[in-house]
Amino acid sequence: MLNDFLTALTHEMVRFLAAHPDFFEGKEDAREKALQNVRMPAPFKHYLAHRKSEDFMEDMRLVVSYVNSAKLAKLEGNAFFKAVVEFFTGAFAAKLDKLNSDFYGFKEKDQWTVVQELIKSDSHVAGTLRELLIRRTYQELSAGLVTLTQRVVGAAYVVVQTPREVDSELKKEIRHDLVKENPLSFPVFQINKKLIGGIRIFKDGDVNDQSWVNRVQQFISLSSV
Amino acid sequence: MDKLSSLGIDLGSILFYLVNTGVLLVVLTYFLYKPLLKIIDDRRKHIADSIEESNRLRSEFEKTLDQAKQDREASEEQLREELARLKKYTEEERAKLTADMDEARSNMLQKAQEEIDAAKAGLLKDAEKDVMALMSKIILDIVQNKVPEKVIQESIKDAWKQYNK
Repeated sequence: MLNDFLTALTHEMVRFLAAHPDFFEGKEDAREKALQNVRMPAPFKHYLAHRKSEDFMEDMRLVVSYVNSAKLAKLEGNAFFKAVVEFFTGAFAAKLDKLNSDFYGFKEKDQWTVVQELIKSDSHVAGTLRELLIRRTYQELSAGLVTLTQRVVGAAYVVVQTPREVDSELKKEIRHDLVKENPLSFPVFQINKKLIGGIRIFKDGDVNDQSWVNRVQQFISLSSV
Repeated sequence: MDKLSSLGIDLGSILFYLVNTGVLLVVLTYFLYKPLLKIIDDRRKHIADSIEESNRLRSEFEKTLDQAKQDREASEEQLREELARLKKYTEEERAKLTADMDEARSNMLQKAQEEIDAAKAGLLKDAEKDVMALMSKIILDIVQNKVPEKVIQESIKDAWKQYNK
């Protein structure tokens, strides 16, 4: 799922490093300065600014291994993939949350318009992200990203169920707080009309049920005692 | 002497008679009187012994009788005590049996009451369950279909605030 994105990103990095052959020899603040004008998401700039050249090469080998066989690659604790997870659970998730469920019913042309508005950069990396949003459903993306976060940092599996589509501002707030509570996790939003009202949050098997259906059931069970 | 003869008394004859009588007395004393006395003495002694034996036997009999009487009284006393104990034991057993029977009856009654109560509660619970299921269905149906969108959105926000507390 992320092969195009990873390829574009590594290409961007390699192109940058080719233009700055002595990049890894500089100090971290010099590196950060060199990366300032590069069109690359912040977590990757931070990654490059703090990674040693030999570790970077190892990471590139791991990326190649992941692109060839995603299931076999050992991602646990890897700095590059941590940056990937940080990007997808942060900036990318915020963009994803801005798309409401109607988006997936649009014609492709309209979808492109929406996504173009959402991700304005004309970099190759941004293009792969737009492709991801157009070609993959929300369920596919969330499932893939949850798997990735769990493989890389063992993040909690968080699901937020609501009876209706949550507006993007509230989604942003919910995601922000849940990610703060469960670092590098990717909370998945689901619509469950049976809840009627309120919210239900699953976290690694534990459930916090603030839904109306739960309250009705509690009321009924208390009444029958 | 002549005169005695004229009277027909002969001194010789008298002597003869006297000797004869003395001999007779000696013979009689020796052969009759003494054995007779001995027989009489023996008889007297036998009678005295018999009386003494009889007295002894009577005394012994009386003693035995007294002993038997005492034994009988003791036996009667023992029997009375045994009877009293038996009566007491019987009373106790009867009381115990009565208590056991009362307890068993009470338990049976309680169990029966409990079964009746449980059956009653079960019936009531089933009825309550049915009513609750119906209530739940009605409430959920009303709530699912009649709540305005705005209220649902508000409920999501409120629930999120509640979660964050």
